Amino acid sequence: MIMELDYQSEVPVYLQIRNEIVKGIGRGQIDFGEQLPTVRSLAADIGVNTMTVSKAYKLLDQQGYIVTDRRRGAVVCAKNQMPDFASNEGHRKELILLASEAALGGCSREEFLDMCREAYVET
Amino acid sequence: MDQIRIVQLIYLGIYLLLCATFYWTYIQEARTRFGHPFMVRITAVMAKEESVQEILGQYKKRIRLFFFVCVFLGAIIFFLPPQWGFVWMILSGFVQIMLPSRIERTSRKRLMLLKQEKQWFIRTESRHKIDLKLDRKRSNQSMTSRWWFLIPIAIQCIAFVYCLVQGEGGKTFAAVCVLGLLIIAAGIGFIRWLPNKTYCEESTVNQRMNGKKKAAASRAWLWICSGDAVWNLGIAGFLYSERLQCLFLAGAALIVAVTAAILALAEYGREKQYELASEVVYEYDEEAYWDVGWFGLRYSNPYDPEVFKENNSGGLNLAVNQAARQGKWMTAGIILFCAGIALFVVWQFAYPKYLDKKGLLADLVIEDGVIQVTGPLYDAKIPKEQVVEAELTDDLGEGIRTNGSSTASYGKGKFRYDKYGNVRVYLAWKHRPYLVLKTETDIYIVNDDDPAQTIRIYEEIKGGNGS
Repeated sequence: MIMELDYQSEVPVYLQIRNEIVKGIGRGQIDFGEQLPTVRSLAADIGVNTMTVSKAYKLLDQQGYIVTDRRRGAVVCAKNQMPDFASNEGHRKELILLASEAALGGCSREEFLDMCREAYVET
Repeated sequence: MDQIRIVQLIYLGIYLLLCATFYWTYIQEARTRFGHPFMVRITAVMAKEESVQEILGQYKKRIRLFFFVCVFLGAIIFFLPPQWGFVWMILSGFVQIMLPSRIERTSRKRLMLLKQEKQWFIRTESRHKIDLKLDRKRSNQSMTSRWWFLIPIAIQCIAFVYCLVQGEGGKTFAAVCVLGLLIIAAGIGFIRWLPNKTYCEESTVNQRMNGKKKAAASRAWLWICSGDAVWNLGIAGFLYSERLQCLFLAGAALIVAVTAAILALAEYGREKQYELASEVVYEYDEEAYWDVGWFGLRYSNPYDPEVFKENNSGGLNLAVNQAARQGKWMTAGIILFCAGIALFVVWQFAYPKYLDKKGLLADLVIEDGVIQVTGPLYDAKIPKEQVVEAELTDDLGEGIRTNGSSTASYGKGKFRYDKYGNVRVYLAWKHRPYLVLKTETDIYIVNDDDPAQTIRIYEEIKGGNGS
């Protein structure tokens, strides 16, 4: 799985790592139960401080996408253990914001739903 | 052939090797094969443009002329005493790396300006790609087995033991062998910790390429370490058994090792081209992070995790990424090393010369029945009653230093002279006569930087001994 990072972006690198990993799991590029690279190894490959990767992994762990274990390192959770989307109020708010922006930007309901369908990959 | 001529020949050999290395380093910067002469990214079509060819051609012409002159200037070594020949070699080494960098800087600026004027745009990746499937442990499995490193380790250990059995004089060189052992370990550790690189979209290709990179680096390192170990053994053999064959063996081992290391890296370059030929390779706009400093091309990109960055040589020549954490340490190490060498040269040559000029180099006195030779660079005491024979001489004959230091101004430590055998020397060379003092166990050769004082002390010893 190829992770894309923009070092010039205003989005912090740890958040970009988190987003890319979630995207990778969602699109099936990272398998459920797959072991992620160690914090030190990934930090060296990206060229950032180990704290940055550690922070991203901690966030993923808190949100329930991965489990960190002293022996196995960071492992992607099983499909049935993934955090529930619908019950997350934050996601609903983000979706409302995105839909409003789409409507303001001249995007019809159908066009918006098509975009959602295209972005959604069955796992 | 006398020893001075041999030393001059060795210096000339090193000088020519420096010339060849720097010439090769600079001339390949103008190659268009890898698409970035002077690390300015241009396509093959752009490279064929007359204006580009003119800039590259002019650069190559200037570089060739510069090094052509340098080769002839090497002959100066034969007209200088060995110590000044050494200084000439070091200084010209700096000139050979610093002056062509100015030519390269100008040519690079011209090429960048041309690219800007012609509005040549090349599409590059704006977001950095990192392959999450890459595994450093798997890359490290491709490295040359650590068992192979037992060869240079064993040779270094033999050289270490050989130096130790030589007694006091061998301790300094034994320390060099220990340093060699530490460098072997540091190199292996460093290669193991090299970060993985994402070359293209294919994870299998990326993993294979990273494995090959580590394999080539560790193979080259094994050759370098083996060459260094044989070099140390050869030099130790030459110093302590005086066999010239050892010196030639050491030189030959070093040449073989460097050649093999270069071939290992060149092979990696070829394999990389072959492997990535059918892939879409990620290219980033890194032109702005390259610059030509006084020591050639330098690279400083905080967004690039690579510590060693390939320049225009296709992988044979590497620049240290000065913005990477390990790169910063390496740069600091190189600066400290150079500063150390500079301080050493000043300490060895300039400071004794200054002391000599001021008449502060050596004082020879007799106090409370002890002959004392003191100065900022050495301090020795010889009880007068132990002196069984004293001799004043202007000519010590043929001899070599076996331990200690010696410059044109002063000599300190253990020497071996045809006339006297093993002696301890505390001398201001330029201020004859020299006073040879024989005790039951040792022979000392001392003097004062004031010849009258040396003669006075000699007479006092002779008067006291009644001989």
